[in-house]
Amino acid sequence: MTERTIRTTRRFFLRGLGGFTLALPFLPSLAPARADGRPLVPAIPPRFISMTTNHGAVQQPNQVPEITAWDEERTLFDDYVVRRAALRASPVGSEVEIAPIYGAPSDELTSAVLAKMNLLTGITIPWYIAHNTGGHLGNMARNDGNGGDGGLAQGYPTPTIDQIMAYSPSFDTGGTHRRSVITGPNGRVSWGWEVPPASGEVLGSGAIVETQRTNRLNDLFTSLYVPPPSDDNPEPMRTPLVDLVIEEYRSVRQSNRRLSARDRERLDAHIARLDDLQRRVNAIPTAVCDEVVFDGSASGPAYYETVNDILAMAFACQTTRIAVIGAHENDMVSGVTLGWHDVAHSADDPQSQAWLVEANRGFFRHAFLDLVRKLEIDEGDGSTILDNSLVVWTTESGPSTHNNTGSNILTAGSAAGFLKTGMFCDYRDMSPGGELWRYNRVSGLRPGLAHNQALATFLQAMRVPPSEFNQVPNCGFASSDTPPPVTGYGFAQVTAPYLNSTNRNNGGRVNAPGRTERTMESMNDILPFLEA
Amino acid sequence: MRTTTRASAVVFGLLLGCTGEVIQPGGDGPIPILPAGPEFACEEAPPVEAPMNRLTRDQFDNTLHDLLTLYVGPDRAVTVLDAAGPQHTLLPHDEAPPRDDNRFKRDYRRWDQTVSDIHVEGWYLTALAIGAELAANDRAALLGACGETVECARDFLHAFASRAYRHPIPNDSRARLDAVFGDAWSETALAESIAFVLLAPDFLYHVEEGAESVGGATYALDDYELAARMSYALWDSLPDDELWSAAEAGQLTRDDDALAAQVDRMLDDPRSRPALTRFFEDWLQLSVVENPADLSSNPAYMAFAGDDLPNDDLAGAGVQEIHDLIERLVFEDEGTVRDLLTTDLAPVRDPALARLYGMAEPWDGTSEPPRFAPSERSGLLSRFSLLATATLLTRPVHRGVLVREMILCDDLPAPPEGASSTTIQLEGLHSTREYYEALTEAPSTNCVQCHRDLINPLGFVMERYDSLGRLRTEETIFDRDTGEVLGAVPIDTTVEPSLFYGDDSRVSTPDELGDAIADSGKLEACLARNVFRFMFARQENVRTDGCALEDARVAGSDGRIRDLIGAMVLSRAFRLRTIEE
Repeated sequence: MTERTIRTTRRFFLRGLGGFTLALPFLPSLAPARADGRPLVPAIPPRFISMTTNHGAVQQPNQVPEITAWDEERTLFDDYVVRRAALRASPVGSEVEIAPIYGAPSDELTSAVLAKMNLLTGITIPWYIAHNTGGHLGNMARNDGNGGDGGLAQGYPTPTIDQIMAYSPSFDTGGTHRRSVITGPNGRVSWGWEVPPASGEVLGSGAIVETQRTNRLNDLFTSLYVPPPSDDNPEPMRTPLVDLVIEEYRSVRQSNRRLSARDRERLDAHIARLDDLQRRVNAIPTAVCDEVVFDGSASGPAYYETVNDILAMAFACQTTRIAVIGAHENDMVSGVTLGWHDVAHSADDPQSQAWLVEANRGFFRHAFLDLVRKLEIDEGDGSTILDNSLVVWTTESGPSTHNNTGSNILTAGSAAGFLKTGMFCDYRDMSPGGELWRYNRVSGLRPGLAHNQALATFLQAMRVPPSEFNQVPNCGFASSDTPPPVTGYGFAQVTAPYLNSTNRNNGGRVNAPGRTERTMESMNDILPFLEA
Repeated sequence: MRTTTRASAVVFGLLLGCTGEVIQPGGDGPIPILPAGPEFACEEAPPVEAPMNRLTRDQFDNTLHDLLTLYVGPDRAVTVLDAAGPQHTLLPHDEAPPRDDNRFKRDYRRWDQTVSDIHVEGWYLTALAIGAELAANDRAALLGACGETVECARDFLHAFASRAYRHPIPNDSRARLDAVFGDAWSETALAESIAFVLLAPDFLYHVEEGAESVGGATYALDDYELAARMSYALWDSLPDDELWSAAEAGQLTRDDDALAAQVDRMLDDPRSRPALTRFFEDWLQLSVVENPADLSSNPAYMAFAGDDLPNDDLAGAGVQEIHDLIERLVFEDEGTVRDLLTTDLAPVRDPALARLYGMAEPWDGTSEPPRFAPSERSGLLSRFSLLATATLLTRPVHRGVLVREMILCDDLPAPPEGASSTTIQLEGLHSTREYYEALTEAPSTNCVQCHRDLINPLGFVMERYDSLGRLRTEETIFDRDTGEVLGAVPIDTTVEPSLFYGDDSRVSTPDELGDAIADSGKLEACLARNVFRFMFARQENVRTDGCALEDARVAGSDGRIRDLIGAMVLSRAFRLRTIEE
């Protein structure tokens, strides 16, 4: 049995729904070293948490702070200048806010928390994707096929960055119980290979399939909570059964039974999952949590707060290092007399816009900020789990729904020192030619840097190098009708016609032909200002 | 300033929101797509290749129960499974994937072939728990008089594995199973061997190798494989003793009458009810029925709902009504396909739903169900679960799309680029229909063709019901802030439904629409397509699957719903598998 030391000074609390509180002693192990002398788990393992919401459609004044003086301006090329300022919250009524959708009581949205966050604006998918759930994390193929571009992109599925991390040799999830956890009511956000990469490999095989989601709270808890060993545990098996089962699958796979190539591919996928089970069965726990009992259900804001409780426990107990929450922002608002889709499509109606602001502000406070605050758990070296994490909130569309131009991304945590924080970074192209060709009669939309560059930044923040993710098929960008493509993460249907300034698609800037293509030339660069 | 739900609230098509902007001049032309004809061309062709599927969650649960029942009886089977409860709960439930990658259209839960780390762990832990429980407490039942010896254990395990695998255990698998048990008797060896069987690919997957080639890479299923395909199609479980015996005797592939008799018996068996109810749940997308109960603080909604303010149970009550309706039509009343859109049966158990429908009292659940006046409600389309929107307003575009795609099986094109945000303002009070006509049917737009001819009419005729599914003769307009009634506008439900190319008929009521669809022949054709998708867990190919589709369509055109389902199982395609090695 693994030897463990109990540090009772570090206690993590899991709050139950009935207001009860469970003390959860945090029990880091004296983990043995690997044969090569490296610790079993990095001293400060980075974690990644993605939160995604639908529709967008929050008008720019409601989601972008007004800045009168910038701390730094940087010319990317020609007259395209990006800017940054300190992230601040101003008192509005009884609360403080960065912008109307990012508001909370001042004792929650503190200056200390602000110093650990970044607000990025101007993030753009430079072609027409409309409704999608895969775009958040890089599988642009998972869109509804609206318009011409979306249909084209459906032919190029790509694993999402959370799954790239989960199997990356550089990210090293070897010590965790679950490589990743996908939760929340909105599915089809996380995608991976049907046959995931083998240990030490970068690429998997087979179809790109949705990662299993666990959205019921009890199931989420059950999947993430690893009870401590007890005397009641059954006797060890003679030979671990999982080893025998793997051998059975391999035998059938390699037999002369009449199986199709696709049958064998399914067996391969199953074997890969069994391999992962074998890894977990044989793993030496790096930490365990004391007995915790959870039984509850919740809806609305309480659902997300409870998800956060469970995720904070999982991060503290090191049962996972990657979490994706596919959310419905409208869970935060009641009394809406239209369907939420209709609300987004009527965003210029004052009542609809008010609902959108209320929903997103609620999500900020009860989902994003709530988790950020709960991750302020001491890691034992003066840093907190939040410090060593990257929490990312992305929205499906920008200020105009169906259009991912000028979107915001809100982040928290420095990813164990990889990113600078405390900034509002404005990547919108505010030059005379930088305005988007009139879209749906909505003017003032300003494309900025590509969403895919943000994804590459997040991967690198998790220590996954471009040399790994550039291998992923369907990544990279054809900057014109004639390849070669440039490098980068995630597919975008970007060819000259799509970027032409006279084109109506998201990337087309007025009187600035080719400008969006220029932004594609540095897709692996860390987004401006962020690199520590 | 006074605002109204109609004058300023903006309502958009769920799937086909539109700018009204001129993108493609000349869009005011004929119908852009031709709905498929009801008949399928039957040209004997090999079925397309499809990979082996895993057991669905329902199939896994049912198979375990029925397998254990064979050895320890039904009551003990339940307690054994209960012992595995905590591990079993980890297994994910299957989800119907979106059709055409569109979040608003769903296929069948049987299509969910995800195998994740959670699945594998759930299966693993469940198998361990069941193995341990049986080995600890049921050895006498498993081994019988033979006793606790290696030989007896192996005999049991071979038989157990054959039934679990749904075919005689292959020799190489038998040898590996023997190796798992080992050379010495022990309870642990028995427990682990049982678990091993429940984790094997032949248990968790529908492995079909076929018997003999019928041409190229297409093979006829052997008797055991056909029996398993039948039992999982109709029961979501493994073959029972009678079907197993028929397979052992080689009757299923040799004797068409015996095969037909088995299908008839299986449809009579209670196990077919939950399985086929799941078919209707998925076809009608009942899993996404929303509960319109979160608007109880909204003045306008309170005024609109009045005494019918929904409670938390209403959505479930609506789904229960559909379950009861299907139960009656398919299993008890020998209902026809036409009945699906024309029945006046009102098996409404829930008092709130009954009140909403204007019924004097709910159905007691046992007697003959009451009936609606045909002019009030007929068929599935007039029921709460397919009408309610969870909002104050109806969604005729959504309703129209669902009828066009779900009931008629016409494929609509994806919305054009730019189908997005805009607001139109109409003067004075106006109906929902008038609003959508203004929004989506403006001449010379890229919206008008689909909306005017294919989508909106099928939704407008359902404007006879409000967003709670209540019958109405006029549309009441409320102040959205105060709930004050501002007035009422007449309902116009007369439309040209364009059910097929060249159809210029007109209907004015939902029951007329139901009759028109039933008369068109498209209902049984669409039902045949959907039964195919459910049975084969894949998309139909009208070229290679035409015979199976046509067999089922013909059976349904002048027969019972169960005849259509049975015909699919009896089709030639059901007995074949293409295996590209």
